[in-house]
Amino acid sequence: MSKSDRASNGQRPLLEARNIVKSINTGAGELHILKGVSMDLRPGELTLLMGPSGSGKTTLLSILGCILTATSGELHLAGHQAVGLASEELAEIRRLHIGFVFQSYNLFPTLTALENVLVALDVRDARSADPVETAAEALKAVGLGHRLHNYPSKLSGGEKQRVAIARSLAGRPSVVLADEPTAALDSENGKAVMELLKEVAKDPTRAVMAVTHDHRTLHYADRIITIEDGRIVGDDRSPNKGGPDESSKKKNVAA
Amino acid sequence: MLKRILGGAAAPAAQGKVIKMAPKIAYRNLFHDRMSLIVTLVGIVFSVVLVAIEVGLYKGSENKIATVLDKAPADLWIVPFGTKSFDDPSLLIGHEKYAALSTPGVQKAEDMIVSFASWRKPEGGRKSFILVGLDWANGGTRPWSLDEGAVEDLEAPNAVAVDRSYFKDLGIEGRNSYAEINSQRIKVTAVTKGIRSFTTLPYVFTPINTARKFVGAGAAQSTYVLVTLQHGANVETVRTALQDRMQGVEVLTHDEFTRRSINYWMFSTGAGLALITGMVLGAIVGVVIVAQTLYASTKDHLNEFATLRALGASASYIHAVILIQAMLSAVLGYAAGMLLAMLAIYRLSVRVPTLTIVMTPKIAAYLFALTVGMCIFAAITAIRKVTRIDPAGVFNR
Repeated sequence: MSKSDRASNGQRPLLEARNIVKSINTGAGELHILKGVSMDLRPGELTLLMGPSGSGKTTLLSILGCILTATSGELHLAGHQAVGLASEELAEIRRLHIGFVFQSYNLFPTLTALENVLVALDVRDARSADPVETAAEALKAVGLGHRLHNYPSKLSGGEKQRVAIARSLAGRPSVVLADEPTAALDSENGKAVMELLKEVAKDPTRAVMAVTHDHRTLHYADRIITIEDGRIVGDDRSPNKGGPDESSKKKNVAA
Repeated sequence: MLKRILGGAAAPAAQGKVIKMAPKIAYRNLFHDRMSLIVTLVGIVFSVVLVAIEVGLYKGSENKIATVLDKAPADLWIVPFGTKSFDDPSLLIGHEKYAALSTPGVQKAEDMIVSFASWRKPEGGRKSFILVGLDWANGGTRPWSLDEGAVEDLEAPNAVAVDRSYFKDLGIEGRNSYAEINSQRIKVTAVTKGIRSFTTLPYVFTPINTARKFVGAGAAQSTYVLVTLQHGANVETVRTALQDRMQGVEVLTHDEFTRRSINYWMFSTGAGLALITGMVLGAIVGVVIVAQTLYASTKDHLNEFATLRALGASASYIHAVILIQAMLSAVLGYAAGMLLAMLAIYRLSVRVPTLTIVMTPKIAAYLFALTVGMCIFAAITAIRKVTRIDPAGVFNR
């Protein structure tokens, strides 16, 4: 990625990945899942990461989210170089700086919507004068003020995903990473969730990236990164200004 | 609204409060699967009841072994060399009491006769028993736990005291019954309550001179000499002095003689080992059942633990959830287990009065600690499972 790209929205990136390589030993030899990926996430942007199955999207998301560690490369997040850190140090980065939204929501079935959000606050040790009120406000903000005390089994798919979004935001992370957030939803709920993520991404102190296969979500994106076979093959910064900008597509921008 | 509430990435504030959710997650996980909870609790309850009764029996046995020793306070006991326990009696030569009294540091010395003897029942038949001769006339140990009659009633010729719980064994109706000891006619002039021996042999109490007559001992002979030290005397110094002045005896402290008696009956005879084995088996059953159900519960909730890890929860946070689950199981299982154990002990003591099962607040506290320890130990396998969680798994579920 060029310096001019890096400064494209005039803000310092919240997350920067450089030459990320991820290899695993399959027993039959080394399998290279990511082959030198470089990218960044900037505040105020909703970035979509797209690519076919097996292209390395989820692995990249896991590495950017400090859930998985890269074989080599650099990952800078909130002043930390995350590659090579121990699992507890990675957990601390996740706790302080990253919010996750999962395809299957991953809510605690034995806790109410409010309690699910409170868990995120507790894990992050996010102190407030009234944590219950803070969690309730987060749920009200995603339109679930009337569902605070409902268990996930009593919520629709869209509502569950909105609880998950409220949970991811309750700790006020600088980066929100979403894995196929609309995959399990019908079109109406998918639309509502994407609108919510778009709204979240408007915050000038926060970057949002969503892995998606869902082409209905494209018009919400400020930026679309395409990955294929472990390499970034496209980085479109103005996807909704006259369609995909072919001129901005690059073959493996890190190379 | 959305921006105001959710916007603004920030580090956690130092001020304010958080609501600890680990206990709630643990509690909900535990009660979410009722069947699993029931199996866990049944395991703990079974274990607690088994261990409580075995410990109670063990402690009761110890108390019975030391029952006379505990009522005869002495700093030092002069016993025939090689004495294995209190009720493994043989006679001293006979000069030991006076040798003790002339030893510096000794304030008081009293004789005690302990001997096996034969009781002939009024209606025929014989029963072995342990005769205990006490020298209260010279300031020694007085009979205790008298339920009927008085100490003075025992000063009549051939008068004895027996425990109410042995009436049937001794073939008598109660106080004022007659029988024979070693072919000499005796009268039961006093009755004690709750003095039982560890063996099935009854204790029968009588003045020391009467006891000497029954067992054919010399006028100065005794089984033991109980030594009380002068205030400020050094136990070890006096013990060495006594030992140097006498042949064929051992000089033991009260605790040493008590421990020797307990060790003999509990370990040399194997009686205690059976109780200890029962205790250990009970604890093992508890650990295995709790470990299995906790492990199953952890596996059931693995996705949630992986989510917690992905959210940034530290390993200790997740361990805390499992440990709290284990502790909750321990508290619930202990409460139910102790309730059942107390009922069982009560029922057993009513149905089998000769059985002594001791349950004290101290034993109950130890049992609670054991139950908690057992559950925490059982949580180790679940914690090992969680420790190996790959948080990246949350993207595949």
